[in-house]
Amino acid sequence: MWIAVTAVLLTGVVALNVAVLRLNVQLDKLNSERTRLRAEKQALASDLGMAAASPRIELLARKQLGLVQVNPSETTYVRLRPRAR
Amino acid sequence: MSTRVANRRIRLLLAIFVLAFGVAFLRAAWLQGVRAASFGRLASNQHSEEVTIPAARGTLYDRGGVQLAIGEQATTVYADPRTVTDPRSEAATVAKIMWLDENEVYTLLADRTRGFAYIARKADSARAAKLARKGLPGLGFYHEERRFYPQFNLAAQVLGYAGVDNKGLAGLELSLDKQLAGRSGRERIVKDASGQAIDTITSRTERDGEDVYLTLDHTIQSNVQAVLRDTVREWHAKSATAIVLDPATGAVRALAVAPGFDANDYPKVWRVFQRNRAVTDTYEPGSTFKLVTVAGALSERLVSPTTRFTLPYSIQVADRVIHDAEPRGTETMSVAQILSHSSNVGAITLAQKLGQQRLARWISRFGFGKLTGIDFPGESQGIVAPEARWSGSSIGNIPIGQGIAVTPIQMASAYAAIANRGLWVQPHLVDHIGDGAPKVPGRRRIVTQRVASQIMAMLKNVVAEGTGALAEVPGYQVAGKTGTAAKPDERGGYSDSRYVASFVGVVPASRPRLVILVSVDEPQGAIWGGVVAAPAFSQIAKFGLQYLDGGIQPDAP
Repeated sequence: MWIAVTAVLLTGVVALNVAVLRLNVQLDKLNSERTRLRAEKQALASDLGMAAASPRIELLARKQLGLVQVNPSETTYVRLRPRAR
Repeated sequence: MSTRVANRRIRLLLAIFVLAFGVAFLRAAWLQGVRAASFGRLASNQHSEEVTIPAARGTLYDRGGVQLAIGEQATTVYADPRTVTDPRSEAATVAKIMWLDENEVYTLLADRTRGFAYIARKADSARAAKLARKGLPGLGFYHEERRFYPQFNLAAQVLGYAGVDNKGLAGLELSLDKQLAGRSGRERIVKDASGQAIDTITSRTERDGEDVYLTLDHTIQSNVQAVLRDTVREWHAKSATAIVLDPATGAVRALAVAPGFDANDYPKVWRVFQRNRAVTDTYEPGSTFKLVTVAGALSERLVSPTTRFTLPYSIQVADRVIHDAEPRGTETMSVAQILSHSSNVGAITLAQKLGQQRLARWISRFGFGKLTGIDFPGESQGIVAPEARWSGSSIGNIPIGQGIAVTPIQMASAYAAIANRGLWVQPHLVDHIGDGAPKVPGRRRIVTQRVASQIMAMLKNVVAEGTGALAEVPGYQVAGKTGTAAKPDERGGYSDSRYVASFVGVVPASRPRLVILVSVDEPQGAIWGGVVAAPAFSQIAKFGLQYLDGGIQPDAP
């Protein structure tokens, strides 16, 4: 009887250790994945930052679309009045 | 075989066993007693490893959420020269892929006296991966975070830079290092025979650095830098500085110094170009300082804007004779005209009415000679001699901005206070950190609303009919003041060839949204603030007014 109980307990301990080992291996893989994803995110942020740079946008607007800066004196503002009742 | 012989053999065997066990016991005692600690350490090193988890450095954003400084993944390539088999051919391959000098790489790889040498710190990850695929013996790779400035030279003197170990070395990167750096984590990894981690014991979790949101606007900043670049080129100037301030909040929307530099290449740039001159350097302001003299005289109710004075072309103060910039006969000028025509004799006459003691008090009240407290490291407080040490001629040069040194940020905040109805607001570059609330800047009243509006009206005249005509912005009312100051020379006098030309202005003058200071150091060909700095002001103001809130409504009548 005692032998059977001890055997079951030992098997349980071994199974638990194996499960912990598997989880640790999985944790290590997930950490590596996290590092990779973080690097990818940083690379994307860097691309985004460069793409959003004002001088670059201005250059593209000027060269590709032929846009020019507006002269304030040419800007007309429309004053909206509240609708009459 | 006799019993005697048999017993002798048994005894011999027993002796051998006793000896063998004795040796084994002594060895075990030696290993487990005397050498236990060192072997324990060796075993521990083989199956476990202490790993530092670096914290990601926080990002610097502009006020619209555009990244100005970010961390990006890089790969460090190192070598163990003792295990490199063919240094010459490996050096050629490494140099070709990593864009390095082949001879320098060869020197590192061929030095077998060392077991470790950096080949490239924080190199491009794609190139490092290409090199790793070659499988060259003796080369190793690990990932590190590298600071990157995606807008290259944008606000480089403000942002500063972080060094190769990711520590802030200059600018906001230095002053905000504690918040940006975060705290690295630590882990102990237990490995199996193949080096695979089978257990991780975390002793400290890493805490990433906080993101910092600045008050700068990258679009305005970019425009200001372009204008300054053109101004320096046009006037062959030594340098130029500009500040764009929101007078109501003290938020710095742009702060630029030309020539600039690319913060990604900071080691190759001379220190002199890395300085944020707007905060750390001083200059003699010249006529822009007349604001203080006039504000003091108005506030003490000694004069009103219409009070008239008969002013000769020159005036003697102690041993000095000071005259106006342009030769003229004796004229009668109002206080408003003294400011709009930038009359030195007029400003000195007002200062003499005010008296030395009161003038010194007003200089201090405007914040000159004191730190503004802007959140940037190394701010200069300027050079203002205490009133007790003024000479007899001080009352003749200080009121016109000579014999006194101020920082551009002090001058811009003084004009911002006038634009903000007499209320000075502390200039600042950091809006908020992480999820924290925006910092409330310090405020103090300098002049009354009445005096502030009188001065604004006079400053409008400077542009409308005085020395600042080139600062005009079509559709908008502009208030401002020109300044032209000779630079002190080595002999204790003033140079007749080196000047600082400046302009400080407020737009739109009826509902101020921007205070802009432009200062040009040693322009060639022309020296006047109204000629050199005022057009740069006008260009910056034009762009800012069109851009802010989708366009600020014109206020010109």
